[in-house]
Amino acid sequence: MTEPSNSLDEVVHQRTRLGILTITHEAQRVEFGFLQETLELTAGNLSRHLQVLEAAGLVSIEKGYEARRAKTWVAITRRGVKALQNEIGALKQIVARVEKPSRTQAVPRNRTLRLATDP
Amino acid sequence: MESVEGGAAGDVLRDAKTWRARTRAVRHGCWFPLVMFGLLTLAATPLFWAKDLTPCPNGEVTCTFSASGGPLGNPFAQGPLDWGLGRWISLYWVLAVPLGYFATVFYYRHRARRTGVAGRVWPAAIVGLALLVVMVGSFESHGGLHLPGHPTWGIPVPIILFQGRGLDPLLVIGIGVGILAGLERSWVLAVFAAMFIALALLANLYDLQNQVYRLGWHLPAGAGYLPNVVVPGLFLLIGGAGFWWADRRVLHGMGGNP
Repeated sequence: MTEPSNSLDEVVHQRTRLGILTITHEAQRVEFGFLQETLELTAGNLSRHLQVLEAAGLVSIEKGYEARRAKTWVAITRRGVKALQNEIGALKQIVARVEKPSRTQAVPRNRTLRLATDP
Repeated sequence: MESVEGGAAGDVLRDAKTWRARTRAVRHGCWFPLVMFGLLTLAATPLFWAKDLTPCPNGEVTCTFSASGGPLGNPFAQGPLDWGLGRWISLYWVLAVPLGYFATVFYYRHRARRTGVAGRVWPAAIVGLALLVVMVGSFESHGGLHLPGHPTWGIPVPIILFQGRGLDPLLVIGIGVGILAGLERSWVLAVFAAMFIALALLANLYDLQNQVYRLGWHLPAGAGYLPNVVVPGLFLLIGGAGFWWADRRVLHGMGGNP
């Protein structure tokens, strides 16, 4: 059986980027300010994450002006949707494994749960 | 850099759920079309006051009119009968339904600019307007209102079924709300749309005044059609208020601005 952690995409497998994809998947497009506020990030930090996602073809970015104010709109691409679904699926598998451990891989109840890729 | 490995997968999934819920709550604007179409439906009420039911066209004491060839069919036709539910109802719907859809599209665009979250609404408006065009266009060959036995050739049967009470546009509105439910990924709105479509069918096929009478309320002469308009209108209005309140409650709980 394939390890769920093997399905994790290096680009998406990061909390903020997963957040960007999750939020943009819920709308036709999302404005930079909403992402920044919801994910509680600085503008510079969010920009860097967006650049990574755009370079990977997971989001598209559209810049423009509305009422003389610069606006940046972010939309998820089909590739981004697929990457998000894969990541969420892998995370759910990890959680399911931890919640229902096999006899040989029992996890103590009071132990902090970490992903399989943790060092 | 903070990574998923820094926390449990379960925490990340919970965060994702919270982000998703907040984005959906901000994006949802379905209360507006529900309230808008509810008000437009209620505003049509005076047109349904059938004050010209008598005299009959040939001077009879009583007469029966055909259920086929309703007023929406040909709003500008000079039909042989104008039995109270006249051309004005048709004209009203032909103007009111597009107004409702265009106002909805405008509202969603305004909301997207204000909140930073843009949802899709055009497909619902396009399908709604296309259905209205088909409904009106299919009756252009019909030639207006008809007496029983008048040929009704050239008209799609499913559409004929709903003619007679001037409330066909309620179905157009209901289907539009159903499509909006899909676009908003809201099963609650989908259930609401299904209930409204059922109510719209009832209003088109049955005289709700019979139930009003059973409740002990005696409507004045000429007001018999009003329940068929008022009940769906109130249903939309109350539903819209409910969705508005629910979205505000979700956003308030998350500390966001609606």
